[in-house]
Amino acid sequence: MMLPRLMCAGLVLGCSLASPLARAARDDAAAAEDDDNEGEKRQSDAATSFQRIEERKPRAGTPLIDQKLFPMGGRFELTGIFDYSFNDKYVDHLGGSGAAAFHLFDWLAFEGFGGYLLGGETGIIGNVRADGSSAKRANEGQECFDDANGGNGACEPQLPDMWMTTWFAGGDIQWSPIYGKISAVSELDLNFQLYALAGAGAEGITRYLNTGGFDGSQVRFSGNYGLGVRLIPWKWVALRAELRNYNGLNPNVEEHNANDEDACTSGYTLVVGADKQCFPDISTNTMFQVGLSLLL
Amino acid sequence: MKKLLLFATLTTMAPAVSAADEEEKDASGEEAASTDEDKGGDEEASDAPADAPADASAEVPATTTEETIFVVQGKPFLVAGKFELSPQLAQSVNDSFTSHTGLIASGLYHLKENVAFELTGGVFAWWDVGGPRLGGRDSELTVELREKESLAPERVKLYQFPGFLAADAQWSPLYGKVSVHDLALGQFNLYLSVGAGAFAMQLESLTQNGVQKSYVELPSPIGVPVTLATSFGGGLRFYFTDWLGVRIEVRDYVLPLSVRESDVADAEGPSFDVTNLVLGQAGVSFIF
Repeated sequence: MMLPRLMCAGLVLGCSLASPLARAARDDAAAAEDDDNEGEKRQSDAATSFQRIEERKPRAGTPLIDQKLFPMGGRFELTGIFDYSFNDKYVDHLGGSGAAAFHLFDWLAFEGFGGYLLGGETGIIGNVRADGSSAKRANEGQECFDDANGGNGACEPQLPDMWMTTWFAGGDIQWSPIYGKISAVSELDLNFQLYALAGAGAEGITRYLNTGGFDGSQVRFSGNYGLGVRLIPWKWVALRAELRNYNGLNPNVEEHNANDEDACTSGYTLVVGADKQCFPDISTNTMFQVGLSLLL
Repeated sequence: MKKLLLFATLTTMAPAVSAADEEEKDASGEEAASTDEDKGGDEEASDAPADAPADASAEVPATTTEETIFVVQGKPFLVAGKFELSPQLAQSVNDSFTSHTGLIASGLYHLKENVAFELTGGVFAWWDVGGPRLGGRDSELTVELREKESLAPERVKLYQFPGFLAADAQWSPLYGKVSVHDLALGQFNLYLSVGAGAFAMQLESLTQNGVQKSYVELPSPIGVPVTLATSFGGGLRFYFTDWLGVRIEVRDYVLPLSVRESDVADAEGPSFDVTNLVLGQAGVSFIF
């Protein structure tokens, strides 16, 4: 009688103990399986979470540009600039300049600038000095500019816009109505401003002479206007690229025909249609300017 | 004995039942969580209808709970599969010996967000002392050299172009967003283009009366003298609504040109050139 009772008690105790142990073992196995699944899920997430969702629409209420990452208002900007003229007619330029600007607002800045340029004549002027009518006059001993009136008799080319800039300084106002950001290689946060500018200044000018030297340096006042983009990859640094046009009034073009010179003492004559007209010699110097800015 | 067996049975099964309950609870909890994630993910990623059946949303594969924030989040105006019509003003910007000003009309089909095909037609015209006329004009440099220094470039450099037809493919590697004075918001993309086309040609006679332009009669098998061209360029397109935008572009048309004594009556000798006609273009875009 005692033996069956002991067997039953042992069975109960064994089952009672074995059941939680078995469950614990199963739980461990399940946990290990879960871990494996979790690992796989993480790998899967890693593979999918950075996949671009094609051109999805933004969530309702998402502003296009949440905030300006690099606001410019109230900041100073110091810039070193490389200057290169392009679309040159008779003279070209290469040089460097510096600029200091204060951004009154995000969209408005005042700037002062100054620099030096190295000028030269384009290849066309080489042909003019060799084969133009002015050169022929000189070679044939004919009268040239103001010869009859005791002038210098120089047979310089009778062309406008022959003066080169040696130095320039001035100021401008920059208006930046557009602020944006670019998705460049998806993760690089590249902010930028597009701006228009207008200003005025002074330039030192000179020109080559047939004798091989330079004419006396003069100063002309000029206006400038242009468009630019300011890329702001970091808070303290910006890259600038500008197209800027400098216009100024040049000295009189020395015409070799006394009648033409008399009719146009501050400029040059040109036949338009059937009439000869007098035009002021307004220089057009289009510069491509690239700069690196320090933002304070 | 029966009581003892019943006790043993209940004692044995109790943990198993408890475990089954917990498993069911876990499973249902995971399912609920999974459903919530799917729903949330759908709302974030694909704007699924809110009244979609739960089963349907459960079938959508879960993307991820982790959201990547891109530099530029989402495009407000999508153009893939849409047409774009764009009238533009054009001005040659590398004027050496001739200059061109005109109107251009472009029709685009956006195959994808960043790929488009374009057909372009344009006419160049000028208004001078003889009145309005089609074609380009001599640049200031050409006029000044001719009048003041009795010099002229090679004849082939004086070709003018009354109009052209071209086609090109465009690819947009960059896009971004802009805020105009914090008042208007828009998006833009930078695109590159490559294509080909044909330009009508004209060549001024050496002798002019100063008022009405006269031109050399050029040979042509189709009635209009033309030359083929290839083009490449780049530009920016700004979209401020889903139907209106502006675009600016610079495009270089490369044209092989020649003046043969057999073709041009007043030619002083043969001349050949590969001309780059670089046009700066600006206009508006209508998307539909």
